[in-house]
Amino acid sequence: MMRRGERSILKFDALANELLDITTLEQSSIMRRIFGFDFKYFAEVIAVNTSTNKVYVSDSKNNLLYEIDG
Amino acid sequence: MVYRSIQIEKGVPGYATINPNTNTAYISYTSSNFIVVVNLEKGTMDNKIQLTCPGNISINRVTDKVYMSSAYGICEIDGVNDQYEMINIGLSHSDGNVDVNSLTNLVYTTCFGHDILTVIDVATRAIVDKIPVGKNPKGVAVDTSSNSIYVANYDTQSVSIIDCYQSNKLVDTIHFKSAGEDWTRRPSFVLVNELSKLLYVKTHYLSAIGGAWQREVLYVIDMNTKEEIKSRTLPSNLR
Repeated sequence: MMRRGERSILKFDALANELLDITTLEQSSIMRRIFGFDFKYFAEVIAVNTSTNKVYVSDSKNNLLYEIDG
Repeated sequence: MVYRSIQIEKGVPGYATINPNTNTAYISYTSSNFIVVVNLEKGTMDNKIQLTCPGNISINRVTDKVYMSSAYGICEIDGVNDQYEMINIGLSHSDGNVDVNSLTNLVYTTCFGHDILTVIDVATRAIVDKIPVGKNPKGVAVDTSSNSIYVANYDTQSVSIIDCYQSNKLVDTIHFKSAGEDWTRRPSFVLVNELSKLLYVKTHYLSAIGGAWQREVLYVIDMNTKEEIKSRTLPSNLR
């Protein structure tokens, strides 16, 4: 999901209660934020490989699939 | 920490899932009308399959067959050689969801606009049952541990629970409709965690008057008691 000034993956516990981890994919610059060019939209697909505990997240802006630690 | 990045197709992915048996990812691009098959071992995109309005994806972990809803029925992909075949369910299939029970090899699918859950025996390609559910069903999820099916009824504002051990009988309903509220809660997607016995329901909040979009809320529900444990408003850009 998008947080202010960055594109991030947020990891919650099973009850969606506690924020366990944040993986930041891209940060916005201060100038971009000042002039209102901050990230407007970040909705990507997320899939988990339950065998390897790796998480895969798409980045449609750059046409990439990121592999991150689950 | 990002370990690596894999080049995929240009476009906005709608759904993705992974077969841990084959270490393969399947990504559907709903508005671009194709899906891609990504070999996660090699880090390469191995295949691109044209499919009209591909939706969500479900995998039979016993047979390694992959199922996804599309405008013209269910697409079945052989996880070994990527050969695919369409299963026609006799209904226009816009905005439906699909899930498979790996133990019984039955596929369950909804069709938005048709108030039934279609059950397909994929071994014979036969439609074995059509179960009445709420109005305009969307999400569907199988709980193989109890052989139950959960269906998100968008316009009825409820989740139907179907017991497959009792001849596909509707055994319970979780209601999201409340009187006197300024909005309506429309369940659109359901997900089952069989280990923790938690049901996740994504709902769209619409204004009661006019139906204007308000927000999305995720509900966490105890599958034993059917009680809501937690709700969390999702950022508007989180899908």
